[in-house]
Amino acid sequence: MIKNKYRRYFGTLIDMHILSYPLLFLIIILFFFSCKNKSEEPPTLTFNSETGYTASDRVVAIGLPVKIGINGLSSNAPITNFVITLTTENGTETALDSGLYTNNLQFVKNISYGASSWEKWTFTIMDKNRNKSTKTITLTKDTNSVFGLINYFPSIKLGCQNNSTFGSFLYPENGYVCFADSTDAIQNNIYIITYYALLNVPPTDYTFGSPSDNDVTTYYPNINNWTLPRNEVRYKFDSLTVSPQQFDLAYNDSLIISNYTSATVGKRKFKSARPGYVIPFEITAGAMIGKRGLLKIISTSGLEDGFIEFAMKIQK
Amino acid sequence: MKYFISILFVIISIISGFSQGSLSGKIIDSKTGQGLANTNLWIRELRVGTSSDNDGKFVFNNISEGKYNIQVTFIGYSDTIITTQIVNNKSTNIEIGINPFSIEMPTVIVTATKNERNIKDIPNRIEVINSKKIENFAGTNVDDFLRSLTGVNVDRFSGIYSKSASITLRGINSAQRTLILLDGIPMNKTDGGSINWNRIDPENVEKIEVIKGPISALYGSNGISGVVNIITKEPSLLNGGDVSVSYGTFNTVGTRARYNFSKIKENKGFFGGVSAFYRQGDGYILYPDSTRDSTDIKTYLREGVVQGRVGYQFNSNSKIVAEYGYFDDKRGDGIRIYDTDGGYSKFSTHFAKLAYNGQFGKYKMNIYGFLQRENFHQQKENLKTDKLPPFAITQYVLYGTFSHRDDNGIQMNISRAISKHHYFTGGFDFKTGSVDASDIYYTSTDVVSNLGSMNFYALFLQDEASFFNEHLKIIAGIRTDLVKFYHGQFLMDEPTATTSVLATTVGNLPEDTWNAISPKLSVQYRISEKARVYISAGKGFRPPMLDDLCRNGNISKGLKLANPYLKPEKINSYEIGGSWQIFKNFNLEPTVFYSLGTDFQYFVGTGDSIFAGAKMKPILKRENIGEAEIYGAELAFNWDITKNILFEANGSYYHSIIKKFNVTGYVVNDLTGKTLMEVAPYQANASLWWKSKYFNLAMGYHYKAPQWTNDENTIQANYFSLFDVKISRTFKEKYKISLSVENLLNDIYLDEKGVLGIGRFIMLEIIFKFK
Repeated sequence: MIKNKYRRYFGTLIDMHILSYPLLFLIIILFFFSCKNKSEEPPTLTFNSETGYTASDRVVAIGLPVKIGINGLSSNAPITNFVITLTTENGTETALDSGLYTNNLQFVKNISYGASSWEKWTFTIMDKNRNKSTKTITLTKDTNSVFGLINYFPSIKLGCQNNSTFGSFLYPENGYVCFADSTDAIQNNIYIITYYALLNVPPTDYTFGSPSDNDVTTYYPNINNWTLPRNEVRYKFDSLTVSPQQFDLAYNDSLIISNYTSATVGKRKFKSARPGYVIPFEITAGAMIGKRGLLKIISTSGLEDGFIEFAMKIQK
Repeated sequence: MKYFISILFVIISIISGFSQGSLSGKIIDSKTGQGLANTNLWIRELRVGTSSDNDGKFVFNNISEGKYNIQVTFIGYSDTIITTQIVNNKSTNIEIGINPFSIEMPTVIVTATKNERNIKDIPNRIEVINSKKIENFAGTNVDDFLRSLTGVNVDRFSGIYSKSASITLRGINSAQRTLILLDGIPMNKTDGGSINWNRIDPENVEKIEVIKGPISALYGSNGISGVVNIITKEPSLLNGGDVSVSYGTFNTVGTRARYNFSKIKENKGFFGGVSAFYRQGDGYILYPDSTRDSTDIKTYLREGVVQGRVGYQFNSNSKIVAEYGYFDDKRGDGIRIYDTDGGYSKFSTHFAKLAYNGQFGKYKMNIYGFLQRENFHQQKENLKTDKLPPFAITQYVLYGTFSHRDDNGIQMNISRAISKHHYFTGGFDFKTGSVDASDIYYTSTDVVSNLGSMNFYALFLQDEASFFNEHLKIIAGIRTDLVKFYHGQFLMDEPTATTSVLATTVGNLPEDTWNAISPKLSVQYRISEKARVYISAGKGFRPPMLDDLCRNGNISKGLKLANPYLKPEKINSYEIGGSWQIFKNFNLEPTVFYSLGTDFQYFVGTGDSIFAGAKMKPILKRENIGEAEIYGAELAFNWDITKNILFEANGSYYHSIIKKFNVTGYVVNDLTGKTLMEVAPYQANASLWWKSKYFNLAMGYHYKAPQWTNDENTIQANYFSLFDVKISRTFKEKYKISLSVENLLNDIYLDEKGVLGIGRFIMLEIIFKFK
């Protein structure tokens, strides 16, 4: 009765009202889910698409340099974490996991394509509210590409800091070894330096370093006078999986670039080298920048007056 | 309220008066006989008060028959309580003589036996700070006043800008070994055993009772080295309150307001009060010029507390009181790298209590229910850069700690006088504590969480008996504790290399239950009214803390790993002491003691270290290391040089070493023979109070010898000395102005982390009292 009474005056409106209930409800639901709290909005991540940059999946040749420009933008909470990972058929490596504090991130990742059939590069940014954005670029190997040539030095002896028989400084281009007092004039050629690290905290022993190693000047003070920036080598410090036998059998750089990839995070020193270790390394500053190699430790002897004997294979 | 019963000075003459029943009389200076105007009088049972007139005379009308305790207070004089009887609704006239104030400790305390006892009847080393000392000596936090006590080691390096303070007693390190009570309620958090000293407003404190030596026979865990009971003021004697403002160094501004009311008539009715306090300041830069860089900023502070109390008195012997308070603060840690707020810590604490005190025939009963809910949030930033140009940033870490800590419980004790010289007390305690905390990293995906709960059940008995006309006093107590640890978890979500070192104990942690029996026996012989000697032996017990059982994470010393297999520690302690009034107004109190801790919990280095902040720090773990031996001596004296000049001094010596070190495996060094860290082997204090006609002047000096700051005794903190001064003046009993200078000589020290102490701190305060 009441419905009919109202229907006489408001019939159309009532009909509309009945029909609009579900519509209104839907609108409310959509509004609720579409209108995110400002703190829930993730930062935006894009790739630089200018000339010279790779912004999408592509086919590349072994060793081909690839440049990826990453742009991150956040309108409220700053971006505080930036992660780059590399996934291949061999597993996943973390190339970068860095803390930062910015609303505008601009980063360039230089990649040298390795030995895998494919490489999936994943870029993730996270803001202080732990909202994330992720994008990937997959590189596929050009099946017509070939591995590069290497130089092989079957036995190099580098002395520790008090050794008067063997020098401690190595030019890896030609295997030239020299003592500290003759290196100032050729500092641009020196990349690998060895010492017995008793003065470090905590102390270690047979150590491979480079002119940019923070502790090398403790043992070779003359390096304090070298020009900046100095040459730098980074060593893979964990997950050493190359056996001495594999090292011996390597005739091109396939073993090198599969063990020191563009995702490998190396350190400027390798502590406590032991016979049997095969240590991947990369030259990261200096004229030979980008060259990678392997050191196979043959023997160690003595203390501060001792030496390290090793074999080296390095990209030409 | 502090009581000083001086029956000898009361002259009572009872004169029949009017049938309405009134109590009248006169307040006089007991030495001069002069009438004292504007003296406050308060009948405790009726909760009514009045003031004396210009001749010292007073009157209470409409007083019904009964026995009443009248409390008399007057500035510069000791608080006095006298008991009088109103008979057959007759008028009663009395004359009350009160003594000029002495800094000598009040004679009645509660903490030692859970009953009001004369301090000279307790065979233990006891010290008390009364409200007069808090009002007249320099200090901005409650723990500042504890520093003046014998051998109390207070660590509050940055003054009011410190996140909290650490209090230790009797040469035993770690604040968790000192039980802190607030009106009898334990404040030590089950999570880490620490206290938030900043949430206690010293203006609300009536007195602080400190009992040295193990007190586990009455109070259970945390009472290894002793107990500090902070007793707050009862709602005011009269309706009224006060308002104050203060301004000090580093642009530190504060304000406080209190109001109390009483609606009690004929021993029945409501009473209560509210108080609020707020303070903020700009702070100072923690690092000296030589090590300062662009990331160093001032340590700001903002804090406030509001609390209220309401009660109902059923009759002259029973009442119920409910209390609630809320504390909130934020303190910068002096570093800002990128984030606007930089590093800071923040507490938000709710605390509540419900208490019933009653008497049923010969039985006196106290029941307390309490809860403390603390939300702690901390943000930390740290940065590592290359040592070579261009000094590239090699690591930036920003993370937040979110910790929710609950401590709730119920306590009950019943006492009965078996005879005039024999008293029996028994009771039970139940407490439950828990923690739910996370470290959330913003600069990596890591989230590290720890949870845990602990329940405490206890029964205790105590027997007090006096013999030979009170010359011989024996107190024996025993307590049984059962502690259960459960729901322990340490979890890591999306871990990266940032927290990989913490992945030693992940997942559910094993439950455990511990029990202990803690006896105590104390015997005292009172040689005369002026001299007594006592001997005491007791056992203390302390279970592990949730933080040690469940959490891998950062601490100020470096990084600590959880030890879910940690066991309780115990201590046996023996003490001989006494007190002697050598001559009038000169009291001497010597004490010697010996303690042996077994299964002693101690941080030991694992041999590994980690980058934390800008430097390498050790990785530590709490272990039951074996035995710790502590012995020492304490000496205190106080001297009322004149009526207006009071002097006291004390000194302590502690020898605290690791006697047996049983930890093997990962530990690098055997710590046998090492001195316990954070224990000052020598401390000394002296204070002088001069009450003149125009102002009060109080001075205090404190010295603390150098102490080791790490387990291997290779890093030592400097010695520490402070000279404080406070001058104050009260006008017309309503207005008070005071100027306090802490660290007058501006002795600035560097701690072992290279952090500067606060230096000289000046505070001007104006208080207005109203009725």
